[in-house]
Amino acid sequence: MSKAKLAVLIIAILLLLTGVAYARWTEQVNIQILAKTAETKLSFVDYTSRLDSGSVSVTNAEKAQATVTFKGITPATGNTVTLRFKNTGTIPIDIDDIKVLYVGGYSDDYKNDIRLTVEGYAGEKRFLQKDKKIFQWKANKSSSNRDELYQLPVNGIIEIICDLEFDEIKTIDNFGQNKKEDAKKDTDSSDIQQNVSFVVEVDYSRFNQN
Amino acid sequence: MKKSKLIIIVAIVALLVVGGAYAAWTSRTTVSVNASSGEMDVAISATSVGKVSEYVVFAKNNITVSEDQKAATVSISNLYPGAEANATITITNTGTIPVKLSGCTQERISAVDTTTNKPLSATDASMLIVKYNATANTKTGQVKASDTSAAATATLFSTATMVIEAGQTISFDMQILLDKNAADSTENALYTFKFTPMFVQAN
Repeated sequence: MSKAKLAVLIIAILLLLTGVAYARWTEQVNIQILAKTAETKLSFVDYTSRLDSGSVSVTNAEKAQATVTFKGITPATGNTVTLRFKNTGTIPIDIDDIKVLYVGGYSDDYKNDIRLTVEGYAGEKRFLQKDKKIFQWKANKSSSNRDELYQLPVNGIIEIICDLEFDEIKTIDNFGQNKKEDAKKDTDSSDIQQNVSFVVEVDYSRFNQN
Repeated sequence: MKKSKLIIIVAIVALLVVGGAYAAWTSRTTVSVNASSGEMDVAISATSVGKVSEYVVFAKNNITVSEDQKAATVSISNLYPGAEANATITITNTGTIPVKLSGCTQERISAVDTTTNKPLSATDASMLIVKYNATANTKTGQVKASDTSAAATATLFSTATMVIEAGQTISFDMQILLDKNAADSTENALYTFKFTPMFVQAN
């Protein structure tokens, strides 16, 4: 018998054996599982402002950040911008902190005279308040708080009120001599104008089932 | 007529008479043998929804069964770390012979980020875990077995010896959960799994 014939014979026998092996009846059921995960998203909505002096602009407002710039603010005035952010995801999110990442634009001569207060509101509920002189924000830009301040439901909105107060400057006109602030005493406070720019970021995390 | 010829005629006539007599005393009997084989068949007979974590979207109408009752699709959405959804699929032995669960396979068909359509990393893909509890009604009562896997492909219940008599059922409770340590990169992901219970004839 030639090798080819032998091979054919072996294959035929194996196929027959395979047939025998599968002779048992089988049945199966197919179950497909489709699992889609949620989305966590906080989006900037809009802003409103109240100005005693100068102007304000809000730029680079996307996701959970916004850059606020006050221009031409003068002493003894208070200016406020209110930023609104919305939970546009599909599950609640935990608001962990509100950070001021960058502060600049102002003159060091007035670093003690400008205060920035940041407050977080959800409806009537205030869940955060931070009040610092403007230069102190810069020093603490990386503060982080991972404890949940507020749980924002889907489509819920938070308001972040940024209140910038420029104190009355102690100049010759109103206080006479002031040795500590020589640079200011010869200046008429009506001539003083400052710019302040800062980035507000909402630090949030996904709702987690514990 | 010669005597010999007469004898032959008589013999022939006698033989004909005997033949006729024999024919009169016999009859035909037909025995019919009907050998019908057993039938082996299983079908999805019931589905139900169990515990569902808050905000997870999963209800009875999110489980669909094919017309031939051989396939089911379980659709869950809005899963998040630590959240779970539970479903039960009941399979009935609709045949006439006992069937044995020979094992189950689990295959991850895909795990993709739906915003980019790109596959998730291996770590993220393994964050969806499915835990199975099987309960079979056998001759000796209920038999339970458990198995779990988050692997891309897995063979489950390979050591289970569950024989389901005709008309009896086996139920698979499936707990589908996203690992509580799942990273942000598992957001907006779609995991697609196939779970296949396989049966053989019991004998």
